[in-house]
Amino acid sequence: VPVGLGGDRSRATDRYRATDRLSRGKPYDNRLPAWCHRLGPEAVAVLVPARQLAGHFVDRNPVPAVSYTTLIIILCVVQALLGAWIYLKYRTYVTIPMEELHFWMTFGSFEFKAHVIAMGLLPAYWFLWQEPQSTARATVRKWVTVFLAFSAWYGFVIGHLANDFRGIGS
Amino acid sequence: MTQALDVLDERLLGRARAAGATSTVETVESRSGTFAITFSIAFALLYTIYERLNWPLFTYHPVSGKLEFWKVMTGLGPPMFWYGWIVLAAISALVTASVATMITRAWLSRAVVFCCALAVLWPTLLEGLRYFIVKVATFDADFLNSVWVAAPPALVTAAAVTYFVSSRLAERLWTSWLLTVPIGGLVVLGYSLQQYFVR
Repeated sequence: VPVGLGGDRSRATDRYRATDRLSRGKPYDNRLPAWCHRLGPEAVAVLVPARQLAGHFVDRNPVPAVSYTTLIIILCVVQALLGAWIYLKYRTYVTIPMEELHFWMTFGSFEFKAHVIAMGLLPAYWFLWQEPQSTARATVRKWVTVFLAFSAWYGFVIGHLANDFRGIGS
Repeated sequence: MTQALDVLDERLLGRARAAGATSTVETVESRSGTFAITFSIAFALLYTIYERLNWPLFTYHPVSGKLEFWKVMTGLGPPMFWYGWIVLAAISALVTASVATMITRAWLSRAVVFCCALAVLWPTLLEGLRYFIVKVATFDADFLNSVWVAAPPALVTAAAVTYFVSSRLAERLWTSWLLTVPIGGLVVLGYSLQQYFVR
């Protein structure tokens, strides 16, 4: 793998492909929100660039991490809109019994999730991935991607916990 | 010979046009970049401020299905402010980012430093003042509970900080605010929720 910009990018791409394929094979696959699915491997790709090729996982269907940027943004917006929609029912039918039964940790974690999701880094994320080979903003691009991955996964896990408290629609 | 010169002229003209087009694309890209980065910084900062001050653009009452302008605490069922904070922060950040594309980069970097310094100093000074009044001072007055009391010293201090920060540092900090502001905002918002975790 060549050293330099192209080398870094291809290593990141290789790791992306490997983690992407591994996560796709998991049994809990269908329960993951799609943008968690995309952001997780991309965050791994920018954090831990692959040092060597990982066998046949990387030999087929080369998919550069940057090609998922638009998809992640669309999925994130759709997910946020759907979340904002079910938040209405959650506020009425879930938080009131949650408060009455003193499930304060779950309540507080979900309140924090609402703030984490609302941090609005998507426009910057879109811009930073417009030039994936640029080293000028490589560090901030990496950490913005990691931050978004953290928010996606935190939102997913806490959303499930809150949902399991009673279950939306129960 | 004339034909050869014409061809040369055409080529040079073509190159000049291409160079012009490239510079236009770069300008558009830098503007979109300024807009995107400023929007993200401003949104995170303003969302935190609006949440802490509880300034929603509207209140939604999910039980009655009523949507009311600004903050309305009373009504059937629990009021929801989250949508109001989001929409107000989005509108404010949109305006801020649009203005950011019209000013020079040097001014923008300094303005961001000023706003972030103000966002830190204002609540810190206010809390300090309240602590002083409760714990140390022998007097108390209603006007000291207003959030506007800490505004003049916070503005002056933020202006001083901005003045002493070099242009180079302000420029270097420019994209760092993309992470500093949301993380700082989440620390503040998380701290405000500590009551749910220490019960």
